[in-house]
Amino acid sequence: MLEQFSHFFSTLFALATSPTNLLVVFGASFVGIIFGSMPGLTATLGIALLTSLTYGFGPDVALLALLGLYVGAIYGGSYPAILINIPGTPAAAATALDGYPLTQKGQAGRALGLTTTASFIGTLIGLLFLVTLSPFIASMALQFTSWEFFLLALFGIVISGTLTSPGTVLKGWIAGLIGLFLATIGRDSLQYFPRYTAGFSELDAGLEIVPVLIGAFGIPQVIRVLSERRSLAEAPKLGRILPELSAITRNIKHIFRSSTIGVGVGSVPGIGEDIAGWVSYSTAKNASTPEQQKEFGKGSEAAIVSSETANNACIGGALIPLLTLGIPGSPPAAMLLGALLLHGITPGPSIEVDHPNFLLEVTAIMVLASFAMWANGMLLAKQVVKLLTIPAPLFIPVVGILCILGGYALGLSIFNLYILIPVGIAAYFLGEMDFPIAPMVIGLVLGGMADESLRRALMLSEGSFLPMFERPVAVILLVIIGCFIVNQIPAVRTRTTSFWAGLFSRLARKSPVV
Amino acid sequence: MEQQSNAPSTVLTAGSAADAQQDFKVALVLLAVAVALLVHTLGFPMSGSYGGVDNQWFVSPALFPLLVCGLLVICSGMLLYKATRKQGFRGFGELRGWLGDWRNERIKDRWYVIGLLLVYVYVYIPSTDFYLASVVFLLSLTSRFYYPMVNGLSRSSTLHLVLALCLIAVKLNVNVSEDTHWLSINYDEDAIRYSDLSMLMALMCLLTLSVCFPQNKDRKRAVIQVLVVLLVPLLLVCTFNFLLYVPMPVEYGTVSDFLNYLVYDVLAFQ
Repeated sequence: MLEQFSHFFSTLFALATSPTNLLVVFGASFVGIIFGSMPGLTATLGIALLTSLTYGFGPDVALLALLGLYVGAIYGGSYPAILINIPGTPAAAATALDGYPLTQKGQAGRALGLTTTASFIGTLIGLLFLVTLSPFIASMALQFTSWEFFLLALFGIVISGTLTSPGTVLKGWIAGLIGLFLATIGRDSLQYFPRYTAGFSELDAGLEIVPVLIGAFGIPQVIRVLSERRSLAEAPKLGRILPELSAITRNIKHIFRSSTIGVGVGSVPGIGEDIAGWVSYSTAKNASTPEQQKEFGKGSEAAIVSSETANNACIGGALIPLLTLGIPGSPPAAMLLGALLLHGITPGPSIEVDHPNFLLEVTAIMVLASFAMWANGMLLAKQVVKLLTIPAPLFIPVVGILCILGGYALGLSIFNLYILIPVGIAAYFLGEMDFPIAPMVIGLVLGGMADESLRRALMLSEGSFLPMFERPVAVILLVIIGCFIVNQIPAVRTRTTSFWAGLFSRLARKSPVV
Repeated sequence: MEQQSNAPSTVLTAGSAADAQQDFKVALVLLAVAVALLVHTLGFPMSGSYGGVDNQWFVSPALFPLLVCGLLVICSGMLLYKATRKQGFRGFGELRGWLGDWRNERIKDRWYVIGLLLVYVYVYIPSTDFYLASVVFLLSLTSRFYYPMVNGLSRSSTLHLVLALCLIAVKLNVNVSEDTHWLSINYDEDAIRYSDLSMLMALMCLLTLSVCFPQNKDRKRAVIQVLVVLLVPLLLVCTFNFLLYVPMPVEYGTVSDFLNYLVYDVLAFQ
């Protein structure tokens, strides 16, 4: 334990005393804030584009840049949400509800200062969970057999399909299945049989994950933002940004509760920062007194602190399944997985064996990234606000070129572009028809693992499915998957909803919130 | 939005008639594709021998794809059933229902951006200098959305159609003896020069149209547009080519050749 502490602090010290590292992390964090704050650009897209730029660097520098950008971008979404009532990223949607009314009251600087500090604390608490829970989960995952890995992949797709498509769950599942299908393209790993390659040798190794992800997240944004011709309101001038200590202590209970919610939501495969923000917002509202509840939607401090803390704490949560099981907890984490694989790092239960102390190093980088985010937020907020005046029709076409150049640069293959564009157009139309993209990405990332694990498990059991029911974790996963599916039957759904509603109202009556 | 995130998630949730029509179409397409894939997958080796190895059904490369395609058929079928119950089949034969209403500006813009992306990636990038291709792509988008020109859509679309046909013709004619197809990258220097020349002419036309026939005259916007369109691709090409050592798709493009000469021969950059 002591050795791990000393390794963590020595890594942090080494990172913080290297001017190059500081420049990279502060620069990446600032770029991340810009990505988050420009409506139309997202954290996932930022990581995707930076992946191509950091391809030639060592894994340490690449990780510094990618994680710095990730933290900055999730936080950056709050700028336009607060200043012009347009969330820069979906994660900041809940922030706009109360952030913009604060701006209208002339308190934009105060709102930004609060969200900056709340995001900073949220990220650090998320990291605390990451560093304490990950070794436990990783050691447990080392006991997993192929059955568990197959079911984990299925679990990720079912859960993310269900939660990201609240209107029609079928669409979420279909998106997940499309992702799984895309993962089967190429020669299969056991017998080297070509599947759906249509004679193209470029497809033998399967679809390159990063260009496909750039296509799935970047191209739809380009088409959508340009065709919707979004115009932005003018951002107001900022006053004092640094928040008073009393404002933080006043909201400390919201900060801690929202951090826990953020970590919990983030650790569920495929659902990300946006869901965390909304869940935390509604929980904060429900937990407030009737007088405080009236303030929600009119510029409540608790509201913006809750949503911003949760969406940044979600980062640590999303990294838990990513680093310990190889299952991304959110779309940006899926992109990060692609970047890690490109740099020869395969996240999963054996990561600590293959790369000793990797978790501690990631945590140290994230701590530095959080500080960089906070400092950038406090010192450069006024500069970021100026960037909001750049019209979308001017920068979105440049983003389109960056997507294409980035997709080509990874592997120097023009074939990547021939895949990227149809994937992007298909993702755009699927998005227009309310099909969520996150399950598709999760399916693409986990498909290979699911395919190999299923066949390996059946090979060991010589075609029998019975061993699956002899493993406790596999049975638990099966039960959860089954529950999620059965719960979509309207009669079952109505009963479970009324059961949970009754239970919560009884609990609320027993312990009223002060 | 809050309501949306908390909305009950059921397989059979009510939706509008337009949603049902859209769901019907997409479910039908998905079902057709899934069935076609399922049939194709049945041709994969199941339990015979492949590559000299005796196969068992449980190690077959078809096992997982069959599972996925089977589930896709079931889910698409359920979505189709759900949409049919809500009269989603109405308007199935109307082209407008599939492509959108062409009188709607948003639909026009959507297809314009998609068309430009397709022609940029499948025709321009493999045929010509990356810088020139990117400048034309950027200018086509900014002259529609940032500093719009009069009759921009029809003028720009016609120009791109002619340009794309020219580039494909150049590529196929110069390299006709080899097994080159229109998607492969141009390696023939003559073909690249002809393509670059065509691209440069198109660029000049587009630039003239954009600057001389704007919908609303705004000198500042015109200058910003020209600067962004010419400088940003240059910055990107230089960053990727000389700092990240990423060669451009067409290596012997006119601008790439000039930049290489400038950077390596004149400036002696190592």
